[in-house]
Amino acid sequence: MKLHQRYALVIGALLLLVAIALSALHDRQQRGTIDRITDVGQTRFAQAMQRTLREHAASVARLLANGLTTPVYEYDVERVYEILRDARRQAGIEYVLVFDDQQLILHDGHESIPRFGQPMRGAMAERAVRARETLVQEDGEIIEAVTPIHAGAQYLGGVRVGFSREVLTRNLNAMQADFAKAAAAGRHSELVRIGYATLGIMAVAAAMGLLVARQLSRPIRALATAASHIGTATGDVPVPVVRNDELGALAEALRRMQVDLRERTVSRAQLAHILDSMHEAVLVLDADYRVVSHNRPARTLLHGGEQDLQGLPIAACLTESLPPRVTTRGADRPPVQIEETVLRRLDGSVVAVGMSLAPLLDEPLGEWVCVLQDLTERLEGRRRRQLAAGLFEHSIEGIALLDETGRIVQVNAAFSELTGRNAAAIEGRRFSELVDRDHRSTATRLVHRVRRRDRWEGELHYLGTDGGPHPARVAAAAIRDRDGDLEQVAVVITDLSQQRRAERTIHHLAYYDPLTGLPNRALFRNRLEEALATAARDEHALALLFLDLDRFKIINDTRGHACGDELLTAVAHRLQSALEAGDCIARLGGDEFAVLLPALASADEAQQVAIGLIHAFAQPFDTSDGELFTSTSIGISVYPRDGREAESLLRNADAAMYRAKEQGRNTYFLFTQELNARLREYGELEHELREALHTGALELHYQPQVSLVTGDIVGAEALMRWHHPVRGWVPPGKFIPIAEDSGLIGELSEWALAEAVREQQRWESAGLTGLRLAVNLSARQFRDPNLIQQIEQALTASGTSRPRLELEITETFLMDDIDHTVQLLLKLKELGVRVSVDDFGTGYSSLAYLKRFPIHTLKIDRTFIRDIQEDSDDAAIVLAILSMAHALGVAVVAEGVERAEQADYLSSHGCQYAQGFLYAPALPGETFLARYGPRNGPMERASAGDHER
Amino acid sequence: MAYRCKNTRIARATTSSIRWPMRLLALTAALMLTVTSAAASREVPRGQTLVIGKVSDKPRKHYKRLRPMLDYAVERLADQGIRAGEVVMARDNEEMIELLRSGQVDWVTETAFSALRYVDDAGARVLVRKWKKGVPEYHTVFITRRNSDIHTLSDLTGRRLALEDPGSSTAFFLPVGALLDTGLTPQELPRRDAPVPHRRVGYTFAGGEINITAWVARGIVDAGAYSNIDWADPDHTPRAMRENLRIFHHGEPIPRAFEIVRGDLRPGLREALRRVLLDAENVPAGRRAMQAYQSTTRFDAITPTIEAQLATVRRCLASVREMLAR
Repeated sequence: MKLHQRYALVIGALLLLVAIALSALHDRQQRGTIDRITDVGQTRFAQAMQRTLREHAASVARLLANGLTTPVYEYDVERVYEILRDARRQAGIEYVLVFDDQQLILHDGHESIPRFGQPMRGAMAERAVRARETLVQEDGEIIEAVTPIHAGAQYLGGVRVGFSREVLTRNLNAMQADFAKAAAAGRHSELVRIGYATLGIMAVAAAMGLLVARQLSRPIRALATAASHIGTATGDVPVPVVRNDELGALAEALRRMQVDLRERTVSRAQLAHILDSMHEAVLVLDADYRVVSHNRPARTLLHGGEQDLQGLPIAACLTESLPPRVTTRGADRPPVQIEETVLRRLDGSVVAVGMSLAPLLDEPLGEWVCVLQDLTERLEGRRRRQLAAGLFEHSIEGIALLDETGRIVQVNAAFSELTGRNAAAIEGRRFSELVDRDHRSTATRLVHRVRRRDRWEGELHYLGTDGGPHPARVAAAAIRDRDGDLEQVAVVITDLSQQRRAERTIHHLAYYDPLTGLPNRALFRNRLEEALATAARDEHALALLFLDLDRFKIINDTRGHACGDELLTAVAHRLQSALEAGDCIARLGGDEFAVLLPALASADEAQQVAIGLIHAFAQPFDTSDGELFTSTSIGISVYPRDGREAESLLRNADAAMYRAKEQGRNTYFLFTQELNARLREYGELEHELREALHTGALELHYQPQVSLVTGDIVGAEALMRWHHPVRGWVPPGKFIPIAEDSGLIGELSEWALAEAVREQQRWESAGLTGLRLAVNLSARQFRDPNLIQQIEQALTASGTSRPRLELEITETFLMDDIDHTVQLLLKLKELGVRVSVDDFGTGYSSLAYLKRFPIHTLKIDRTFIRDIQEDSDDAAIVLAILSMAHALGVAVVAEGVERAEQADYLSSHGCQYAQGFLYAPALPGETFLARYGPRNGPMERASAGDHER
Repeated sequence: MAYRCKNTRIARATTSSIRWPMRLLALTAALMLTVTSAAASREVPRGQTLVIGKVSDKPRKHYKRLRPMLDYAVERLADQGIRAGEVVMARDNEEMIELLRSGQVDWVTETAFSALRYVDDAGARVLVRKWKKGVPEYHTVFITRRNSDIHTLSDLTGRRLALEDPGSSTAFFLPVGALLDTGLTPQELPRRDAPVPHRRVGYTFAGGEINITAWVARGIVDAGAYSNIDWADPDHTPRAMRENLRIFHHGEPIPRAFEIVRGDLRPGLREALRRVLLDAENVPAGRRAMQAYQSTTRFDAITPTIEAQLATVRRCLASVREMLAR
């Protein structure tokens, strides 16, 4: 404990004792005062309460007597009860009695008046009946007030009200408790105040004690501080004490000692300070090479603390043994110098160091002084220089070092290779001399730019081995000396020749058709956009021609793809030669081409070009497979009339091209608003058809198939019908192609298949049995690998045990993929599903394949039946089909039979079945059932009304 | 003026008899309750609400007594389309008759005399008899001092008779009717100590049963009349007084109270309500509701005996009215 703290404790304790004594005295006096006040207060309050209660009792009695006068006079007992009942509810009232002039109780305050008519007894009762004015009397715990009741001068009786003194006692006790509580609270707050005062005094005492103690001990502390600095590295501290007493003499002695030491000695601390400020690590070693002393850089180098290094055998840290002459001991110890060795640090890491070991003459300090120099940075610099030299020499980039004037100082092998000149021929020449003339001024300014900004990057054409210019990316960087002055410029040259070639190839692949060399769709679109912008700016028209080769698919399929490709190439050349220089032609894909006529005087000009192109196809095209003829259908859209954007122009030209195809091919068609309206209607119908499929607006109607032999109905064909809420009945010829184009046909056909099977089940449940139901299969369904599964599900869902389902497949589908067709038909046969070939005669059928197919029925297309009696060709075809069917053993159904003569003709030539308006149109399922159900007769030919439908 | 609360409607005659602070409170409550009840009445149409009425000068007290019985009935009348119940208070019989006539009240609980008025003047129907405070019927007793020379009604000629008030059944209508039946001629005295006219029975109003008892006991009047229930009740006839009194005549018994419904209440609903009330004593919830409903212990059907008693009451009422009209 310090001197001033001891002084403070003693002084503070003395002051505290005084404070406690004063507080105790004060408390004693306070307690006596409060006790005296409490006694006097209680006595006076009790007297006051007694007086108040008597006065209150008298008042109540008087009030009651006043209120009771009339009821008592009228003998209104009910009213008397109400008054007494209210009175008894007051606190402290023990009883209330009303007595009459005969001193008998009239009412006792209880509803059933148990004391009615009883006389009153006791001393108080005797005084009460004699009272002629309000009387207050006491008996034990009761204070009673009596007031007589008068009606004018007539004495009616009186009222006695008894108050319990218990209330008074209770109030007094409560008051006593309150006094005691107040006194206790007063004492408590007094004690708290005393406590606070004592604490305050203690705080003041402690502060004062501390202040006095510090004042007393200050010169001693100053002397101690000054003494502690004597001989340390921090230097002497002035001795501030100047007094005439003993402390003054001690201060003077200290000052003299400071002067002596300063003049005669160098302190150990000063020495340590000097050593710590050195850059090298210094170790003082004893005779066994153990560290006796060291400086801060030594700790840094060895990664150790002060304690770690003390006594450390330095030989253990060296990976190499010390030279023999160093390990010897003796007076003659020459200094040792090791240029580079490896030192193992205390944490196990190693560092390259240079080391010198010199003997010390001052034996007490140590035997050796060892100086270690960290070589890490020096070695790293050397390694970097070697690496840079290797990089320079072996880099695949051409590197040249220029001096500050731009002359080449040194080049690497790659640079010599790029320029085709050896180093000797290049070094000393200006760098700009090796650069193409167009970029020479840039090369000349290169050194100047690098001097200012340290770096420069750009593209130059250097002169290559062939003497010609080659593109190169050039990066130049400044090499400066220690003063920051430009010493050299490093120039790195990366040849870009190959990259440029690759870029050109990529561009060509991206924007040109590899087969014909024509621009592809992407490039055509870019050019169209540019042409549209120009046309909009210059306000002139442009035209877009959309070409599609006619029947190219047939050529491709029959002659092979190689031949098709040759034809496309030839067509491309023919088209190019038929167009003028400013026109742009592109191959959009497949057999589609587009021509952009960027500046037109009128739409007629586009028609003229289209006619010219059609004429260009008049001559045959040479291919390795011989000469081939083909033609083209062209659709034309004109800006701005038919559209202002590339997308709409292309779409409209495409639509016009299809119109040209419809018109018989090898022609052109100009886009019109009428076509636009058709396109829009087409789009709307597609949308509405999609909705109809999901909202149940589609129906299946059933057209009966009849035996021409017996006249019986043998089956029916399910035909799709669409009742549009606005358009009415939409013809199948209108919506089926839309369904095919939009891909909805698959979903439609699936629904039709399932619905037809369900309908058949309904018919059979109603007794209409034994009918085949034919359902048309779409091309998409025909190719759907899940077709068999769908049919199985439909049959399972309907619960049909003996399916009488017939699928109608068009001739074209059958021949598309013969192997697939055979496999599919066999599977259908396994399921018990019959197959008929629809529209037979309109396509190409190979009779050889037809024989292989497990088919059951051929359906002769209605176009042959229509004029069968007038057109000998049609009749011949029908007869041939019938003959062939008989030979193959398959049934024949004639479609579109509308007249009896047609039916008779077909029947007479061996056709077994027919369907058509002659018998019935397609009917809703319920109508069909109603007409041909079990309660109806045999099949009859339709009425005239049915024909019209 | 109608006071409404959720599913409750309280009608009161005027507010003039209410002290100002009470009027203020009542007005505030009325404003609040009218708002909520407007929403409530929108929620439940009148046809789906069962409304019970009561003539009362203490609406709050009677509301508490009627509400449980009403809720009990509403719960069991759901199959009749009843979804809610309301309580309506009328200031007097005239207003209640108007409410019954206009169809604003469906169901009323009352004593035999009031019930007959509703039947006669509002076309109401008596539904069941109510055992109010466990009592199916009661009658009038005539009392006199034990040492009196009065032994029959005829002895009352020239004497003073204390009755309760002109609205009392057993302490006015029935005793006066009994006097008339006996051939006596009752006449109200202008003061209780006024001389009794020749050959008449003078009667005066004591204002309460205890006063009838006290006045007879004290000798202020010669006799008094009230119900047998009052005679048995020590609060109305204190034991100390009864020791000096005796009954000298018992009147005809009449039913204690009735449940009445408006005449045009749907027959289906009326019958359903009747069944619910008759069955209430057999159901714990019904017994609880009846207990709150003026300590009722059961409801029973109207028998020929009860109908005969009602006829007696009707005759009595007619003769008293006739006397008063003279």
